[in-house]
Amino acid sequence: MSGKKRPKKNYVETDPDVRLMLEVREDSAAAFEELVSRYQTRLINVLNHLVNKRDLAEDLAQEVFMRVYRSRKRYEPGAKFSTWLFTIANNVASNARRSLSRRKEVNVMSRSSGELRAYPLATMAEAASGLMPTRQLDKLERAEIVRLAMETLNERQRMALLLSKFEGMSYQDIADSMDLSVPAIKSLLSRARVNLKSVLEPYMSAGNISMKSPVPEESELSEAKELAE
Amino acid sequence: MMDGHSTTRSPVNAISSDEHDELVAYLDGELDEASCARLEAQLLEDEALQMKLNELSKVWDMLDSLPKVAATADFTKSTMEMAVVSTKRESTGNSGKRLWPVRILLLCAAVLLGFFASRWMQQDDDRMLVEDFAVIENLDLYRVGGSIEFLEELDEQGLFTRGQNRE
Repeated sequence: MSGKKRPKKNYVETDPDVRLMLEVREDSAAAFEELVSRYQTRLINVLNHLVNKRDLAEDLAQEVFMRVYRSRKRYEPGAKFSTWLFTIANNVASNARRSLSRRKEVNVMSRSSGELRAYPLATMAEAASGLMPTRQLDKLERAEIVRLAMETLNERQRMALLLSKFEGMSYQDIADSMDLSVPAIKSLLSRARVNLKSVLEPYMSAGNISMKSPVPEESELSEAKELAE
Repeated sequence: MMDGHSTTRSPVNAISSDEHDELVAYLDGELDEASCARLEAQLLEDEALQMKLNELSKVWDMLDSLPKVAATADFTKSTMEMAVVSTKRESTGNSGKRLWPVRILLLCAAVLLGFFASRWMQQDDDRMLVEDFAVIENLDLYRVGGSIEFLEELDEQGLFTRGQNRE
């Protein structure tokens, strides 16, 4: 694990999932099943938001669990179990996204997958232009808008945001999971929220939709610079 | 961090990135007590800052509308099956690893066997040379002699023994 080392005793005492993982280390199938059961939905949701394809998210979640299982003999409790799990998830998702973009399928897949494809960008643009009657957008549309807004974030911003929002992780835990410093995470999350706000602002104020272009290039550059430092 | 005496800002976007970081950290509960108290005091006086905080908070709440998915019914079962397969592979791999010392010993034995066999064959050649030394030594004479029968006739006539007696 990366990040600051804390006394391992703390995690064994304070994190029941670490204790389960120690049982997995001793080849307890029941303990592994319990961990899978506890984390499967959380993991699939985070991965689904990262790759925008449910089937792939499940496959990747299984890959994450298998990596956990295969490395059980070398496991040492140097962090919370969830932090370790999402470190692996981050790596698996990054690899998957890289291979997807190599095959140049990522855009096709993200548009054609899921239940929300009845709301393509063209429909939203029409709504935003005022051609459609002004109305309150329904739940599915709202979800699709937020999902598309999330897509405008870069991979790191999205991962940090998901871990913070849906996993309730502290900056320190996110930093450990993503192998970054706490100030870098603070900056990453701040930029992610500012970027999301700039995309969602028209919708928030008027109830209409207006999808702006992805994150400004200047912002990306300054973020990369900060992370490099 | 920011000018605490101003009550309004124009334009609202004039909030710096450091201020954004602070507001986000405040919403995430990541500010220490002193920074928290300082920011809250500033929020009381700065409407623009309050507005920014509200906007950021709304954006955060909007993420709740992201679709949630559940694992398929057989996810746990299929993951456990994969774990079982992995365990079997591990044990096969481990037994392969356990065979390595045996393989190395067999290889060493084969090398030693080859070495001694080649030495024995070499010694066998030497032994033949020693046994035939007398013939080799007189090979030129034997060539002049022509055939074995002729030499045997000469031997019967005492040609070779006469020479030895003279010596």
